[in-house]
Amino acid sequence: MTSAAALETHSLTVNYGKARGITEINLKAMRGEVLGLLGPNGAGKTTWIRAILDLVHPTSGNIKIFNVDSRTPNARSVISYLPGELNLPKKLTGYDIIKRFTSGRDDISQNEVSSIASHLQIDLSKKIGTLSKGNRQKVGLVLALAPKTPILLLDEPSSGLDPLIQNVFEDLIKNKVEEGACVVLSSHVLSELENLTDQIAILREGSLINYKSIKDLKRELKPKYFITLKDMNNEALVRASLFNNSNFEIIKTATHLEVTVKGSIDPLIKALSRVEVLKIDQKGGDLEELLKTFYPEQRANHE
Amino acid sequence: MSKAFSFIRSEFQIQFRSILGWSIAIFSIVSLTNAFFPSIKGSEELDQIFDQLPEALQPLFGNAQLSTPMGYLLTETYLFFLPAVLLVYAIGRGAYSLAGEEEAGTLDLLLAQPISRIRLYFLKSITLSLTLIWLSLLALLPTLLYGPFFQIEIPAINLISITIALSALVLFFGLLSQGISAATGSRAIGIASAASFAFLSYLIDGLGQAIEWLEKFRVVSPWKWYNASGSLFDTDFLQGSLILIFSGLIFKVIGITRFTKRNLAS
Repeated sequence: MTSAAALETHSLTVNYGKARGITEINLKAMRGEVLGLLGPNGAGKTTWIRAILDLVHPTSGNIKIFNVDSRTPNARSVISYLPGELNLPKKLTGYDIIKRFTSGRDDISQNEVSSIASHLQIDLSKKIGTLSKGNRQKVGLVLALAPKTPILLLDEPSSGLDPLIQNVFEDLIKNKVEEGACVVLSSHVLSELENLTDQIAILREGSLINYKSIKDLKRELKPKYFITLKDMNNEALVRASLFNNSNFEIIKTATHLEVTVKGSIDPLIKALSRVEVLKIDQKGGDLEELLKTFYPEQRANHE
Repeated sequence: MSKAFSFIRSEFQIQFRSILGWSIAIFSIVSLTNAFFPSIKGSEELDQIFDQLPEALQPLFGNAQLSTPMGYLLTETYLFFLPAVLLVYAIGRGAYSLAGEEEAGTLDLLLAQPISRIRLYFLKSITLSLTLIWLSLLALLPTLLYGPFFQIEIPAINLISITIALSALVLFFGLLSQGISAATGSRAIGIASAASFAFLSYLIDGLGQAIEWLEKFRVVSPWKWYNASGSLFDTDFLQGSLILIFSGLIFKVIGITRFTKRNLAS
């Protein structure tokens, strides 16, 4: 595993005119790591990926792939791609699809195609038109994962996959990363991002609003604990133990305590050891909760 | 080179059924048209009907005697049925080749490979051109093989001449349709503009032969350069075919220029 940047965008702006594109995106993805792209529809995730592939042209800024300008066909020889909206010719079989969309590559072997198809449990001899959405997605995954490319751009890769194949997919990605690949994963599946990514870039309305390692991001999470004491009057003891600790915010209701925690939970555990606890529930503290803080307007709409 | 070959092979593979269908249709149309000839051969009444048409309209029908083998072949086959059928294919396929892939959402996957847009355009136009040449050649076969059986005996050199001219005509419209649709990203615009131009320019060429003020506009009509009558009767195909192919290449360059610069639809 090396620490070389596989791809970088500097102040990348794509302007579509009236429609929103992306604005001044600075991002870097490393070999041996997974960069997760998070954001609602229209946030700019797909535009960023399509700009790297030169399918849309930057209005300003630049894109480097292994330090080479991305706007050369050779730059794409190190990238494999799975589009977010996968459209495959229905009359062709899976094998035909692999041949058609890899005819310009040298880095794909029949053995690798068979191996990945076998892992994903997909029969490539069937015509695309006869396959379910999930199985068509698997053909797309074979197309993206079979080439021995050091960069993988995967836009909504697990769309339509059942939970068992989702696990297989995550294992395949982990193998690729162990081999030194740089994987960019645009996804709405937060558990997938939590499991796979090293860095997460959060986009909103075409701008990058947060770009951190998953570890740093998790430090910002504030899980909330709902604690029922046998004698709720003992609340004062808990408060006293956590006195002057700004990482804890306690609200007392008629039936329980609501404790919001920032950072380590250890002081709370120690405080609770002094009283008799009947029940503890936990909510929040995951990526979904954090995401809502970045998209307050969406939370408002949702609520 | 092997990658280009592999790509073109894949293009033919995906179009195999369509090309087979069109091949059968074209072979059948020409065969059937030829089969009707014995029933009108030497019919003076038919020639008189055409002679009585207004002078301005006669060039639209080739100015030829329908009761003769060459006149019949010119009017029925090489002025009407074959160009009409082949232009439907050329314009439709030309528009689909890039804009159709873009609209279907498969262009992203093609261009995600290490292949430039220019190269993709070239490979697509090579596939289109080979198919159009194949279909034009196929249209020659029934007359060449079974023509004498239906009393249509025409020297092979004349048939080859009109076949080359026909290939150049359909290549022009195929490249025109491909260029416009690739430049705009819209199959509909490519088809509508190329088909409208085909129809209008046909009228301009036909009517322009009898209407004086229209005559000067004939120079922009591909049908003038197709020169079906001259190509079949006098094997005069070379200049017109070269002009058509060169003009088609101009639209190809325009198409490439815009196609390489614009953002592709997702």
